[in-house]
This record gives sequence, structure tokens and C-alpha cells, in this order.
Amino acid sequence: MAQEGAAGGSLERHCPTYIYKVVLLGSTAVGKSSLAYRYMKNDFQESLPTVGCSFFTKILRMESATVKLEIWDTAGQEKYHSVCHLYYRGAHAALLVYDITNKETLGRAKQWLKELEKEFLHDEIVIALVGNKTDLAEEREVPTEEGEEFARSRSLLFAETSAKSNHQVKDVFMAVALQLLQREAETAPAPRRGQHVDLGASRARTGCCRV
Amino acid sequence: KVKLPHSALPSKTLQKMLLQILFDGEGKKRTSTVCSSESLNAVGATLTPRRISWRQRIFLRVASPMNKSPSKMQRPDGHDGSELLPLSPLAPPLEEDPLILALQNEDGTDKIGEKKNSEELQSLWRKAIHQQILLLRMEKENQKLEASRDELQSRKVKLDYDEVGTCQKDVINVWDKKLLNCRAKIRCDMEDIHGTLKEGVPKSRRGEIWQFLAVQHRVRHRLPNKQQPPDVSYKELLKQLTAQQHAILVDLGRTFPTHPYFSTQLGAGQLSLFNLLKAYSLLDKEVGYCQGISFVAGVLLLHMSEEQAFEMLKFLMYDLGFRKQYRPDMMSLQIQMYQLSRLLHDYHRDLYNHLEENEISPSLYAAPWFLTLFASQFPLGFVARVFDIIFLQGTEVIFKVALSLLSSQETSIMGCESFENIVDFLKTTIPDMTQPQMEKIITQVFEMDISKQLHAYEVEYHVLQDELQENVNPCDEGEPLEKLERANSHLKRQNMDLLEKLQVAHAKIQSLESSLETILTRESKMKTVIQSLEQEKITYQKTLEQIMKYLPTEALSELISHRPGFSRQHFVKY
Repeated sequence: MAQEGAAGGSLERHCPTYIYKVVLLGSTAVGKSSLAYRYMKNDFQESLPTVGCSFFTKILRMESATVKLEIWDTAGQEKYHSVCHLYYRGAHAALLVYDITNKETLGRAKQWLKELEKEFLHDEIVIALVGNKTDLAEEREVPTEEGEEFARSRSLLFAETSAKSNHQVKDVFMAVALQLLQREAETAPAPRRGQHVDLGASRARTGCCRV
Repeated sequence: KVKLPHSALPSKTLQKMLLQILFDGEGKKRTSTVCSSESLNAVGATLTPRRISWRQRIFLRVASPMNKSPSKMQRPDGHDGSELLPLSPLAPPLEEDPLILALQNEDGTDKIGEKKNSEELQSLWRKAIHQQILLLRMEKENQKLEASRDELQSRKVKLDYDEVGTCQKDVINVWDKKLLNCRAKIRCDMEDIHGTLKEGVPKSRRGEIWQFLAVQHRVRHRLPNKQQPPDVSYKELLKQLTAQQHAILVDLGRTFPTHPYFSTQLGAGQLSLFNLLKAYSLLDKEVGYCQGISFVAGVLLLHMSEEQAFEMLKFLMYDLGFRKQYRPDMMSLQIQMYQLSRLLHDYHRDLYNHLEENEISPSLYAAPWFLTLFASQFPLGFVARVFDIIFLQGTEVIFKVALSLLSSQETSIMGCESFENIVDFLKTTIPDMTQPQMEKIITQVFEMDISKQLHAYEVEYHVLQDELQENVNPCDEGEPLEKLERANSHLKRQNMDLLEKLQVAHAKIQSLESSLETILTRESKMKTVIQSLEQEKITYQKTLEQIMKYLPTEALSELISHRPGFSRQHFVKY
């Protein structure tokens, strides 16, 4: 588990730390928890259906900054829709995950997008569309182009992954982190989002708010 | 190419296969499972009667009421047997069956007659048929024996968990006595049940005890008609198709995936779970299948048959009201989160502050506690014990356990400094308790009483909700805060009082309703009695009239003169 102290030790004084909340959204059994687990532990395991929400953190050391991702893994079943806002409130990024072997799940991801567009302004949140389970290529129902095309039309990040065979999982999260940092730089004059953290002062995470 | 399924869920092909198995026909489906003796009986009945199993052979050899060896010795030769053969083509090999032998013996003595008349043939046929029936019955018995052996085996697998606390012998005896009463639906003393439950529950009787507690609850609290589940039988529901099929299938492999009873893909455990969840989703259209329910259903299935588990799931959901938290708006879950926060705020302020400072709301850690009744994260022995108390006390048990868990670990939680450390502690360390810790939690839960608080907090939640919605008259700044606070506390007290009154009123309404019902039934009974009496009266009148017709007028007048006050008018009226 990443400790604040450890993070501080290897850092230069002026290297800022940003904390971002990333939510995983998508239908049931598309692999949200597995993606998170792969990213955290670099391993694959059968996971229980997520009831409510689970939570991970990951610290990324980049050239210009340290990024701490708080990954919120939500329940996928549609039944849980009504409580999901409890979890995506205040998110900086969202991964809309679908299963490439199940076309319906892409439709559901699109619905999530609508939901997020209602809740957030366009530049308030980084959204990535993620087609998971490329290891099941023979059962594919959604062609890569279809996901890609849709993502382009709505200017989302896009990737196809496999949590099972560890395909592009890290890359997705990295791309999201980079995009977040880039936006940070664009709004640099007022560095409000993904707040500057005094090393060791974890309490301050409260302050990270959107403009 | 057949490939391994994505391990979390059955692959498409497998799903299709499963569907075929499940929906080709209900009869066929169950032939592959061995979970209940009933299903096996059904199988037994469809067996072709021509064959007898090796078990039957042994059975007949051992358990035949007739002594075999003497009849064998008496048998003159093989000739009669071979002559009999064409008469009863359905009969099994001859030397195997004592009835046939008896038949043969009779025939042997009868041999003097040259031809067999039709009467004899008929009786032979009758005997052959009788014998077939006997055989079928034996086959069934065999199946039953086999089934009970399999059931014993599967019970062993199902109940393979460490119990929290040991149940003494005398307590087991007390349960035995209570369970006998259960069949008679006798009202038991609640204090007494509470006391015994505290002493422990033997896991081999746990399923029965849950059903006993359910009966006891229902004797006391009848659900109003509006809240009752639709009256459709389990078997009927199994014949229908559910729209939630995909969601259920996907979760089969993810419910207790490490438990031997549920781990086999499409094994007996998963099939039972599928049936149960499907039936429930069809029964309760509003809730359908909601993630979390599969764990509750799984715990039930480990302790009882599928059909009993269905009954108990209905009990938990409808009678105890757990279904509210799974309803589409999940309002009840959100209220529960509020209630838990308030409990922490009022009774464990330091802990509450610590969690608040780190922005940890109950929805982050307690959602699975409520939605799976602790079944998804905690050891089965502990879960079973929690279920014991739930069957006695209902939904508030979840709060008690949650509160007890959090308070018992207060110092450790206070020691966790960051958001992620605390979440990690709550999610992984807390469920990983030692046996004595679990026992302590359970004891605490038995001692706790928080129902009043829970009611108050619920009212509070609704009041807050209304306030936020209306956003009514913003506070007058001139008014002193003190005054407002006093008014507030006064209102709160009033609320509590009203709540209590409401509860009393509810109870009264319930008892009135039930007495009304009995009165109504009595009334309708009375009505039928009256009707029959009236009918009787009419027939009497008719007979009387007829009798009068036959009577000579003199006799009539004589009768009248003999009996003053008995005037003719009476008759005229009729």
C-alpha cells in the first residue's frame, strides 16, 4: 500500500502531487473489478460481484509530477444505478468499460456517458471508453472500429484491454493520468483541480475540487 | 474451437448449453441433479419397469418376506417356469422373484388339470401386475435410500464451516423440543427463544431452526394483505422464464466461488441457486434479481432444500422487509446508511469524527454488509450466526453487528491514518476476525437494543429530505439560535412520542384486522346456517300444508276447539 511518507522521500520539494478520483463504470461482469485488480496487483482473479463500491489507490511517479489515482470500482448491475451517483460525485476521470463479446454492454456504456454529460461539464472530466476481454477474441461482437469510431466522435480516450491476459491495462490508466495532467497544465494559472498537496498532509485531499 | 470461459462467467457456448439443460423441460433438467429425494422419486417413476437393478436383486434376496431356499427346493423342475414365461412377458428373470416362485408352486400342484382355463390365466396376470407394482415400489425405495445417502454427503459438504461458539448438548435437547412444537405451530415464549438462541444453534439443525423462527414470527405478525407476496408456488415459478436470466447466470460462478458446494460450474449448488434466484425474480417483479441477493440465497441453500430456501427467502424479503433495500430507488439502503452514520455519531463520537475527517461514509464499506447480510465478506460460521439473530429480530440486526464490529475495532481504526488505510482495514481486516472475537461480537449483538434510535433516525431522514426539497423559509437571523435549538429538541421528542404512538396504533390495527376477519368468517358461517334453517322451515311448512290437506275439516276444527289460542288463522297464513 502506498504510503504518503514513502512518496515524499523520493520526491523533490517542488515536484507537485496531484490526487485524482477515477471511477469505473459499466455493465455487470464486463471486468471493472478485474481491470482494477490487474492494475493494482498485476494479477488476475475471479472477483465477487461488486456490491456498492470498492476502492484502490495507485501512485504514479511521472517526470513532472506525482499522481495519485483513487480508483473507485462501482457496482455494474443496473439495479444499482440509483446509488451510483454516491460514488461518481466529484470524479476527475471515468472509465466506461464494456465487454467486446457483448454488444449490449457498449450500449450501456453510452448511457453512462449521457449520465456523466448531465453531471459534468465537458472539460471537467476525462472519459475513456474501454473495451475489455480481448482474450476472448473469437467471441467478439463489437468490432474495434465501432468502439474507436464512437470514442472519436465524442472525443473520448479509447482502448481495448484484457485484464486476464494483461493487455493494455496499465496504458489505459496511464493515458488517463497524462490527460489529467495535461488539462492541469492548460488551466495552469489557477492550479485548482487535482490539488497541490503538501507532502505528508493527507488530510488536504478534501480540498481537491473542480472549478 | 471450444475455449475456456472467461473464468468469472460461463462463456456463451456454456450459457447456451445451460439454457438448453434448464429449459428443455423441467423433468429432464432435474435428472442430472441429486439434491432432493422428491426429484429422484420422479425419476424412479419414469424408469422402465422391465429392468430390475442390482440393488433390487440384493434387496429381494435379503428382504423378501418369503423364504427363498425352501421354495427353491420345493420346485419340481425348471419346466413350469419356462411354460410360465410367455404368460408374463413383463416379468423379471424368474428365479429372482419370490412371487413368481409362489405362483409356480401353486401351478405345480395344479398340474393335474390339462388346460389352464381363462380364470387361472387372469389370476396369473393379476399376480404378475401386482408383482410389477411391488417392484416399482421397491425401485422407488431404493432411489430414496440412495438419495438420502447422497443428501447426507451433500449436507456434509454444505455444512463444512467452523461454528462460532459451541452448542452444548442440553441446548440441543431444548431445540429438539422446540422443533417438535414447530410442526404444531404452537406459539412459543419469545424470551425463552431468545435465551436459547443465545446459547447457540447446532449447525445440523440450523435450517430447521430458521424455519421454526419464521413460523414463530408469522404467528405473531401477519403481513397486511397488500404487502404479501403473490401466491404462486415454487414449482409454478420454475416453469416460467425470467428476464433477469443473464444477470443471474453471470453471478452463479461469482457467489461463494470457493465453497465446494457452489464452486462446480453448473453443479448441483449452482443449479439450485439459479432455480431459487429465478423463482424469486419472477415472484417479486419489482425487485427481480439484484446483486447481493445471491449471497443470501446461497446461505439459505447451504442449510435447507431448494423449496424451503425459497420459502425462507420470501420470509426474509417480505415478512422481515429486506426487499425494501433492493427496490429500484434503493431509498431504503440510503436511509440505512444515514441511520448507521447517526448511530456512530451518537454512540461512538471519536470514531465518527475520525471517519468523517477522512471522508469515509458508510456507503463505502457498509453497502455489502447490508445487501448481502454480511455473507459476501465474512466467514460462514459468523454469517450463519448473524442469520440466526436476523431470523429472530429482523433488519436491525445488521446495524447491531455493524456497530459492534466497528466499536470493537475502534482503536485500530483510529490508528489508521489515511483514507485508503481505513478503507482497507474495514474491507479486509475486519472480516478476518479470530473465533473469540466473533463470539464476542455475537454476544454483544444479543445484548443490544437500538430499535427506538433507528426509528428516530429514519424519521429524521425523511424530515431532512423534506426540508432540503422544500427549502422553506430561510432561518430568521434575528431569532436566537438557542430558541431554535430548544424548539428543535422539543419537536424531536414529539416525533419520538408520535412514532411510538404510531407503532401502538399499527399493532392495534393489525389485531383489529385479524379480529375483523374472524368476525367476518363467523358472520358468513351464520348466514349459511340461517339459510339452511330457512330452507328447513319452508320444507316443514310445505309438509304441514300437505298434512292439512289430508285432514278432514272436522278434525281440524276439533283440534282448534281443543286448543284454545290455536286459531285457524295460523294455518291460513301458511
